[in-house]
Amino acid sequence: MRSLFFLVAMSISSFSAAQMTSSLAEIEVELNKSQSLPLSNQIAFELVSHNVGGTEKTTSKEVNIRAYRLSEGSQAINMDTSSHLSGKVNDRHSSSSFVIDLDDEDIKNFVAEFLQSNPQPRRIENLTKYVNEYIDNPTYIHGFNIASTVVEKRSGDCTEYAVLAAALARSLDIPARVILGSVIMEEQGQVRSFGHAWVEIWGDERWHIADAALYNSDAIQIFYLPSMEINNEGPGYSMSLLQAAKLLPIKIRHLRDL
Amino acid sequence: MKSLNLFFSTIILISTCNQVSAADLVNLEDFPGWFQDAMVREIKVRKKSKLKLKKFNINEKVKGKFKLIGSSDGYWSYHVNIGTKTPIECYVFTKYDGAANSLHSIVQSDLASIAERNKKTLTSKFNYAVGTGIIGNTPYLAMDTLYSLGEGESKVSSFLKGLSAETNESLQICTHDEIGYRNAFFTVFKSFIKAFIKNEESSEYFESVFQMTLNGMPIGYGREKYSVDEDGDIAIKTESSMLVPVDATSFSRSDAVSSSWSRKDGSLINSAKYTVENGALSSSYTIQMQGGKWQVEGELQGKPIKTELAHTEPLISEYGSYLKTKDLIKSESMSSEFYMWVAEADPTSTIEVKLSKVSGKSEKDLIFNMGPLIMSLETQSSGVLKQGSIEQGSVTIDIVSRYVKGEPVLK
Repeated sequence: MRSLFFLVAMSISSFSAAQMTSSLAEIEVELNKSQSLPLSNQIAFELVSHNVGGTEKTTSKEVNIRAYRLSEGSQAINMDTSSHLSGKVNDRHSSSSFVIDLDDEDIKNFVAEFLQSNPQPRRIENLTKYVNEYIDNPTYIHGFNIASTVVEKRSGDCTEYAVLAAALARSLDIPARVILGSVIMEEQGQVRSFGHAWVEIWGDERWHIADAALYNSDAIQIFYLPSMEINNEGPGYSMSLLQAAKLLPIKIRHLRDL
Repeated sequence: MKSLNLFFSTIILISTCNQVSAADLVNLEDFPGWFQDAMVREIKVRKKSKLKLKKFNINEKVKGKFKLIGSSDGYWSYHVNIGTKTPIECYVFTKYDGAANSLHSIVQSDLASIAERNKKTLTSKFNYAVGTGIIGNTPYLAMDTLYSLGEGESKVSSFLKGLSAETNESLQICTHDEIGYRNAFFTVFKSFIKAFIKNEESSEYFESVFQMTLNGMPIGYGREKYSVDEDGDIAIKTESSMLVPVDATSFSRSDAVSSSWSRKDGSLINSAKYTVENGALSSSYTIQMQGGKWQVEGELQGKPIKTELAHTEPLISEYGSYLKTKDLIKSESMSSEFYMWVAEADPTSTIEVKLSKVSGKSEKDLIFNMGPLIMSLETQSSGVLKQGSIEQGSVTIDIVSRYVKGEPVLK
């Protein structure tokens, strides 16, 4: 029955770590009393977490995110809309893997169709738009599908959008990695946060966010708070999902402009 | 059916768990008065009938007037009259995906049939409730759906209740397309399931059933059964079924089955397992020792998996993990470490499991570390879990024991 624990946690982590707007992925956000909307593009907040030690390790690897511990269960975070994970590009970010299975015939056909319809295939916006439109059945029911399964089913949530976008980028020799974390989204009159997945693409000696799931979002501003890269792209990808789920905030409070 | 002018689009998933085993996902008070009244109506199921099913040695009196309306190889279908406008429909299958996937499929198929029968299009459907519970030693799943057919003035709405359980190497599902009568529906289902349980052959010396909740909302169950063969090896069968309402209209469905053999010392002999997710085989694996190496074969999302594990030492079985837990509880040691093959984590490698006592607490309060998974457990002295909890961000998963027969570790 011990393996059942893993199965249950794995099933739930894929909802809580990697959804666009499912209620299961929502993270409570509380604005500072004096804060009004719209937000500026630099914000500060208190992040409440079960695993502050883990999130501290993560925030030390982020670009344009400053963090320090407030208590056993919380951190102060300052960030802006250009925040992303640090780290150098390596061969892994261009390779075929179990999750980003570039060698699969369905993926090859998907890439060929993209190239036929896109005269400027290397533009990030074209990649994310194509993936966003290709997945014609957005749904939260899937646990975590690998890229070829996404091509076949044309359905999924942000993890499916992310693995397919990563597959498309890598097929075009653009290094890409799938990031799990959370987003803080300012929409008309409200601020929401939820677990999310997106892609970072390497170019001009830095990583750029490419978010196919939120390509058509009405959000006024999106702040990306990365937890980690999916570092296990083999059949044991569940380990990465669970690691990321452990790093998710419980709550974001005292959110204000910097 | 009656027209229902609801602000469907504003229905929010709220878990209002007023009982442990079921959660209404919408607030009844948001509905018009006539619907609220209809939802709480009930009927006493007075009539009984004889249910005969030779394949399962069933010849029992059950609640409701059962009438066989169709059968074929491994499939039986009944209409059950309880005095409501629409009869309850009950099914028995010997070939099926699992309690979660099959219940969902039957509900979708029923909705399509209802639309066809009424010559209207299914225009909306919403998750109304999800639940789990136990009848005797048998766990069950519940899912209720609120739906509308047609548009404008010809729009009609109704309520489809569904329950499923596995007994006797078969699956039983009942549905009822009528607003209200929730207790009457459950009464018939319970009686139906009891007829199967009564005639179930049982060679297991240990059985346990767990209920799983997500932030207090019941989402599924796990069940394990242990039996012993003439050589003293232990056959372990585990099943789990989950229905997770991921938004207002969809359920994620998952059924997993595992069959393993263990030696009495707790070492794994071999194992086979599969998972069905959202109506499709998601993974299937076997593991066995050959030529001094652990060989894993199977598939994950349609891709073949064939590998030799780097770990060549004995692996601990599920039975063995109970043995380790029981030994730790009895000993002065503060922790115990061992290796298991947990395909759900990574089918291509083993995972180190660490069980630790919590200082200052009872020896039965343990922390269970399995790679990135950390779970706090309260166990019985037999090693069987009483309750456990996993926290992931704002989500808490609780696993609570609902039924135990015997003890897992042989004397």
